[in-house]
Amino acid sequence: MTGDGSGFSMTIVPHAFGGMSALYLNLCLRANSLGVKSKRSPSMPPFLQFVIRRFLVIPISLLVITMLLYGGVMLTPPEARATLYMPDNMPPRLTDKQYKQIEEKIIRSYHLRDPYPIQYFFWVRSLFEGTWGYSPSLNEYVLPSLLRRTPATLELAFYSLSVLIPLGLVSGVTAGWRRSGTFDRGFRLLAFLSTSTPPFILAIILLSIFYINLNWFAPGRIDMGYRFEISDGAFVSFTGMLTIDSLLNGRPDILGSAVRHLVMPVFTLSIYHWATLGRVTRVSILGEEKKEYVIAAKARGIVERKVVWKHVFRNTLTPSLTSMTLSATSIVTGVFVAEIIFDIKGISGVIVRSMSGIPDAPAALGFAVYSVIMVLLLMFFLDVAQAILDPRVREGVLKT
Amino acid sequence: MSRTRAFFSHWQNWLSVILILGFFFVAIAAPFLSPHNPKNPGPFMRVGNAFEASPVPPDEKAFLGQLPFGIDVFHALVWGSRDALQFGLIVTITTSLFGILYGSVSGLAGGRLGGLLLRIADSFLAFPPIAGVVFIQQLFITTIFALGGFYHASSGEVFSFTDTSVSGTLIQSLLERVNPLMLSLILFSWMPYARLVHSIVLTLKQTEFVQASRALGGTFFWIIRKHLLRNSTGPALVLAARDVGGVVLLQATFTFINIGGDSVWGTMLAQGRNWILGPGGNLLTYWWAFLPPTLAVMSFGIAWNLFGDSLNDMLVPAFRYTFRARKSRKEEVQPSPEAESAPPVLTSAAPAVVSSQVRKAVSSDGADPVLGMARAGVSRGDLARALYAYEHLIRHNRSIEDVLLDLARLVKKFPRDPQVWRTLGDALACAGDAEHAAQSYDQARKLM
Repeated sequence: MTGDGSGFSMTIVPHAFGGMSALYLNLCLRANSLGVKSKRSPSMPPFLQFVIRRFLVIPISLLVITMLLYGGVMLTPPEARATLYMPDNMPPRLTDKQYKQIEEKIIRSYHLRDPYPIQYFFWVRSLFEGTWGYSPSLNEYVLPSLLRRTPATLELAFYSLSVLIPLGLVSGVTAGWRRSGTFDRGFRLLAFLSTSTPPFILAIILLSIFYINLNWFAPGRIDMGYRFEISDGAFVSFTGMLTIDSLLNGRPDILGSAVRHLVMPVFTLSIYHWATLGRVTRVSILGEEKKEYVIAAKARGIVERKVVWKHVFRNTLTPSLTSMTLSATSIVTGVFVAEIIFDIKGISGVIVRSMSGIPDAPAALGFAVYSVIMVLLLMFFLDVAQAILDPRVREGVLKT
Repeated sequence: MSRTRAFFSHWQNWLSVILILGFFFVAIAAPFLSPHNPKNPGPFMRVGNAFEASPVPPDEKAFLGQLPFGIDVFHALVWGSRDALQFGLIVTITTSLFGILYGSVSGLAGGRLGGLLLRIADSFLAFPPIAGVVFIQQLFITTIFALGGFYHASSGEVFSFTDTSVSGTLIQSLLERVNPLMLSLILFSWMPYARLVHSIVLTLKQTEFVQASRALGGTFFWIIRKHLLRNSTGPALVLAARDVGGVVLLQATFTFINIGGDSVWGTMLAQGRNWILGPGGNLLTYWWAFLPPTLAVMSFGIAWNLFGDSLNDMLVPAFRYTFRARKSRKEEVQPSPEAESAPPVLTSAAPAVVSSQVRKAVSSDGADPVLGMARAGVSRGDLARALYAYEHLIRHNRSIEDVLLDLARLVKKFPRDPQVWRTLGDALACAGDAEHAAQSYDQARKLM
């Protein structure tokens, strides 16, 4: 058999994958049960801990993704990478030689022939300079262009989410609680129809009926007549979101027009994700009525409505909102698609023009980074909403 | 057998299977259903007047009508289904294979490494596919420009090089073959599989059959291949079936909004769009420009969605059932005398997971199979594995009396081995004898 030292090393072999940590954890737990108290983290409210932990995820994810994105950029030749840093004041006519000189200068100053980490560092540093490169198809710097377009996108996303989340949760709970009832059957049919209708086809149908024929709603952001008034000095732009700005300016007619233009994209966007959210909620509530806490609550004479909405609903919230968080990218993609179809001048406008074959790396890269930030923030807000609504997450009992 | 019967007892399952088989049939038989015109091959065949800007209604030349510029609807529809199936299956198979492998590795690695791997996968979850498509397409375009070429998104030929030194090289053939949309969908849709398999593996890792295989020296890849992959394919298959439809819908969407991709059905809708919305006013005035591709896209999505649902009903509850059943059976079966002939805990467990290796080892000894493995380890002189098996028993609080007796004997045999002392301490602590446990831990510490 073995001596002292090698006996130890032999035991490690079967644990090679994670067994060690499990063993360690086990020992700690046992030590705890034997009366040895382990150190607890300093007293910070669990909710705050949760929020901070979730917020810290954002820079980490951003780091991973930007590293990956720049890894993709690294596949192109250095001359292509130089377009990321082209200045905006290029002379209109350039000979090949002059262009090559500018290119060479950029390649040297941004170390574009050096190894990956150095290039990555210089690229990240250039992100903090606040221009994100000059886009030839937009004729301006990318970041200001993105920022200017953000309110329109935020407006659309905000209204869609505030329609679809409550609707999805309420209909899912109602359908799941009375399984196979009339409401449940109707819900399932509607959810099935809306998940199998691609948003762009729904958009065609809506546009054809409500815009071309009835002219109730319209694509775009605002009626033609108001467009000049808005760009006029009299209309102060506080947030860039027309529905809010019009109220702050005391112009209900502009509000009406903005709402008229928002109805179709919000409907298209929310109907698809409403169905997904509703289905997840419905599944997670099935079988809940046989659980002991429900029976106990009923036995004490609590009204059924209260049992459902105060007890059962909160228990099923976590899986529903988690599924929402996981599909945040598809929501953001949906927002961009709806913008393009309904001609809303949002963030997606940055990429539309470059898609016809103009080489425009700054716009594409800037759009990618910006939309990742949007998704991460959306995930963060959904997580916080979940923590506020779910007492288990709030008190730190349930680690998600 | 009964599973198959249950599968066909719902009309939804019938519908999904019939639709999918129909799409496969059309895709395979496309050259017979609508042969290519050798003069203009490709899904968009010109049958009518190339200068006719409005859609021509069905006639003897094209029995489903023509799109603007004399393009045959039926031909595009038929070849579009081949394109859709190809695209959907390639993307889904690649992503699911990669995701499953990634998830099982990260789940099995566990601890810090597993956490890091999951963190990376989660970061990918924050990347919207639309940004991926645009980004990868731009990488292509800028590379082509830097190499001195031109990019034509609209014409059939995607790009051309003025500089002849580039043509025929590896770069050109790569740029020609790889579809940016497909690449970006593959790169950014494997994470759900990885997450799913990761969580399944974490659960499976705690089960007896994996622990037993590990205690017997099953290697990392053996366990992945033999145990983890077989048990996680069910749920992953469900996800994959739904993904085939989803991926094709996404492709059509991106084509429709002109962001990239070359979905045939999407292109048909994009070409007919102005005639659906514009002068017709009525959605169905030019029905042949709108209905056929719409119905094709929708029924494709519905078919795979329903197929995923039916696979879910068929595979996933069965999976859950074996888990729950095994847990409850464990208690009642263990002390029973039948345990001697065959280890029921292992053989009655999840399907097709007990390797013959395990079965051979455990059938030789008494009541608890893991105890048998531990004793086998001792008699073979493999102390490390024996101790690992004992640790397992202690952790699950099983046959603790036997374990204590065995360990006491082992301590006499190897009085200078700290690991044995520590394990004895664990066993004592588990049995509730805190005082002696502390003494054994002390002894172990001194020897280390």
